[in-house]
Amino acid sequence: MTLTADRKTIFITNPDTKEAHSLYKYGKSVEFDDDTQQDVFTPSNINISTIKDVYNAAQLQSKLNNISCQVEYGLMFAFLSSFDVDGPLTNVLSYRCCNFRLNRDTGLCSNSSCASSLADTTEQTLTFDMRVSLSDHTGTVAGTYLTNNLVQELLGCTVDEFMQLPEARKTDLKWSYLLEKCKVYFKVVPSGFNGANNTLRLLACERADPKEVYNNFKLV
Amino acid sequence: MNSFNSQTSSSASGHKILPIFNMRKRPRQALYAVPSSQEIRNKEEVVSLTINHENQPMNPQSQSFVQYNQTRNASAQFKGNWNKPSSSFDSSSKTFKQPTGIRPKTQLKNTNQSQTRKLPPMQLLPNNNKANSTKSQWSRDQSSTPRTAMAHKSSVQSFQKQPKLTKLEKPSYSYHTSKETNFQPNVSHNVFQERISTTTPHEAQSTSDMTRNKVMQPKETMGSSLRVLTLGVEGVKKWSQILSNGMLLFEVFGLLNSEVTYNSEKSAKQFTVKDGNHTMQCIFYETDRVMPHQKRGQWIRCVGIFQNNITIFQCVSVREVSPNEQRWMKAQMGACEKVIKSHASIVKMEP
Repeated sequence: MTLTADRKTIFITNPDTKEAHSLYKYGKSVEFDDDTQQDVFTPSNINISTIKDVYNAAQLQSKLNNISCQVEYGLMFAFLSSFDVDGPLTNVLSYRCCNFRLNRDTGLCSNSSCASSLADTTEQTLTFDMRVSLSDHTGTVAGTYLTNNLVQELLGCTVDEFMQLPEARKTDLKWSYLLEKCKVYFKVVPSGFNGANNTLRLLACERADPKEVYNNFKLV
Repeated sequence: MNSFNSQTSSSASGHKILPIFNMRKRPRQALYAVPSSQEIRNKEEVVSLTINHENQPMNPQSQSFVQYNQTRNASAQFKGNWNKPSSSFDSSSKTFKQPTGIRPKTQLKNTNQSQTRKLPPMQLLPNNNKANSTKSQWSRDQSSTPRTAMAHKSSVQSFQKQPKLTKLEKPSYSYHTSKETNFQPNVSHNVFQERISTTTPHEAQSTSDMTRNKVMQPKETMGSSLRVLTLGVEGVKKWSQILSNGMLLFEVFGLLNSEVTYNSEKSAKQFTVKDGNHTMQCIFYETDRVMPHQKRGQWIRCVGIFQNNITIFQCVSVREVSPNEQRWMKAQMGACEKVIKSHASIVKMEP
């Protein structure tokens, strides 16, 4: 479907019709996350409990590789096969400005439309930014990130508290999730651009209940 | 009236209308749902021009960027690069990454990359086979072909000769050829192996391409990325033989059937796990933590790799099973076995 504008096209902004008014109201009330930008941290406003589709790793991976993919929500029971909490801090934390990562080499905000990159007023916040992999009996989905909020929930501490923890404690925290079965809610965002991969965004992550794991084994 | 092409910017009602997209600079073309890269570039040019005009000139700021960058890099070290005492066993080993310094590249690849996976340098098999220099040479020549069936088996064998501390990293991929079938008599069903064993190296490469097309495609969903299976002791022994491609981790539930003792080098704890009539020898290397204390006769959960040649289960995680887990573990193991069986029959891996 293509939209074409020519000499005879008329665009009326905010027309005075019933549908337009209700759409305007809806647009004002709902917070949209800008899915075309990568690394945006604004939490998705979808209600997690409405997500029912269970995927396995192979299915999720094929969704991520599928160029003509739509926005999909789903959940997965998988082992966290990569959860490097007690590794180098650069694997766990990163600086962010306006919810975008700061480029490690240049220190600039990776958001091209961020005003701070020109005005040199980057507000850097140290946030959790952990790369994880999800594995199950069908394969592994690697290279996805846990957002600041998710990691805080999992570890039960803020970034500052985490920095104060002794290494042994970090190792314990790691092993309470590494290679454990977790229930992960996710969203697949199509890339929109040719050649770029679809993005996998994790919405929630928690240790899975064994009964649920068993029930969902039958489904996949 | 306002239209995109209007040069004037006032509507019939007298309001000033700003062009939403600067159509003067955009080429006249249909607006597609997916913008082409040219479109994006055009738009970016326009945006950057606009901002520059409004703000200060770039040059003084670029200097401050450099300064910022320098301080940023200094602080980016955080508390310095902390290395674990057992440096060859940093936590990357716990994530089953291959032993190189570059973290992202060493992660085990996904299924979509199974055909073009980069691999660490070739490793020679230990001398417990009839391997000779020509064989290893042939394997070097094949460095560009994907490693599937062979890889896991031979990596398991290379476990024995590697220093202990790096054992966990050793599900790396070394590629060897025909003599492999001597070690795995049960795996003769594997098409890839058979073809290699009966053809010359040169033929083998072209036939391996053909088999790759035949065999890899149906099992692309399984691929050779890391898989984690929930099984009992019997299942571990059985399926580690059958599923020979890619890296397999097992989650095993079993009874601790022996005292936990140190091995001869005092670097690891050894114990036996029993499930029904089947027992399995296990070893746990205490690298970044001490093995949690377990009582004999307790149900424990181990996650690790099974080494077929020496029939030892190398654990990376050992913990006791919670009561809730105990209720569901047998059901989970059964369900997993069923699912693997049905997948395996699809990809014709079962004999």
